Amino acid sequence: MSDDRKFERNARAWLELGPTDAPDRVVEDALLAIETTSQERDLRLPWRLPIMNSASRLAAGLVAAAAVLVVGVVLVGPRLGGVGTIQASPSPSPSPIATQAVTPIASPAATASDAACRLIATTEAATLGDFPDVGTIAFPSGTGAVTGCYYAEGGINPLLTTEYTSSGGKAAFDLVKQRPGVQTVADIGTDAVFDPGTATLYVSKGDKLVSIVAGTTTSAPAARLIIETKLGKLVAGRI
Amino acid sequence: MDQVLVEQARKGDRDAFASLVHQVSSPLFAVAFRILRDNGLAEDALQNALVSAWRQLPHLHDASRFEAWIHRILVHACYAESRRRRESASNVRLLDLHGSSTSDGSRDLADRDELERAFRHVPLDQRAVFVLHHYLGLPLVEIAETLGIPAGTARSRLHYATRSLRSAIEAAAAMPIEEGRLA
Repeated sequence: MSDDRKFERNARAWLELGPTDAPDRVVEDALLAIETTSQERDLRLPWRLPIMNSASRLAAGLVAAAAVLVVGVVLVGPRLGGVGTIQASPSPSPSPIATQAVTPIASPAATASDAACRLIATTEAATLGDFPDVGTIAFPSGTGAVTGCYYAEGGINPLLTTEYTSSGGKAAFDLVKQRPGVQTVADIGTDAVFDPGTATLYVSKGDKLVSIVAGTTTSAPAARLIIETKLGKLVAGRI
Repeated sequence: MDQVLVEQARKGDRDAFASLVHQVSSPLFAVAFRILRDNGLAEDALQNALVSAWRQLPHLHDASRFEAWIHRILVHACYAESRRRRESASNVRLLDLHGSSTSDGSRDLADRDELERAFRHVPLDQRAVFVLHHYLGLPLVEIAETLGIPAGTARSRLHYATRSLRSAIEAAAAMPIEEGRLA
């Protein structure tokens, strides 16, 4: 092989060798996994308007100035003013996280749209992130027997997704267990398996099923399993 | 690629996504195999890529970029799969080049065997660029855009991959072809 063209020709011919069709079972397994996998919601807001004309710039500037003024009054006002002006509360005001905190499901038959969100408190989910002080917000979804919950830091960074099946979960769990590579997870307190293909932990009790997906695809599955196992133990006692 | 299907899948339509999966699975698998040089790893990478694509699809704002976007997901799935099963790297199966060769001479056949051997020592990020360029025929600018890397980085990865492979071929060319050297 003496020149670039011959090398490229040979390299291309070599690359042409090998399989070109995806095995059917691989595609079918992927579609089966997708059946029980929720999509991440795109909650990102544009950081500015796509078109900023002079009027919108002025409006944005006024809003920003007003925000700075309000923050300034709240922070500096109590120190400048005398008794009777704005005073700081002796106890810390409730944070957004605290107000979002949820209680465990009271009734096993709960089918409200926020049923999935009631399994794990936002304060519990927040401890998973690197910036828990930003605040974790839970977004319920779904109706009837299947509800979902999406937790995001600051409403932006995806952190955790859960899906709760209040009835019919056993059949789904049996299907999940048939996937290749699925591992049984002990110490959850009930039946649980981990699918490394989707980094999802499935917790089953009776006819109920909860799937937990923590972290992002850039996280190692082993690390995600550790987090999901902790959450799985919480969930097992609440369904 | 049918952008209507992409839009429907983006909004959560599993049937639409299944149609897309049937369209892209084989081309994606072919790329994954050529990067990883192992059927099992390529199958797992494809499966993970498809599930990741489903989960992340709402973040794709331009349906016309679906193909490039899913290739990026696939390449990252290949990286992850390789990391996960690094211990099995020594068991990578070589292709039966004897059976699949056409009318090439023994020198070309030996070159391809050396390519197979040498490719396994090329870092994955360089392999990905090499495959996207020489197998899919993508220009470097498009590869850079697909992988989300600067064009200069794509160029240097292709350069280093090519240099590694050429060195291996040239070293092999200096040696006589032996019976049974092909795996």
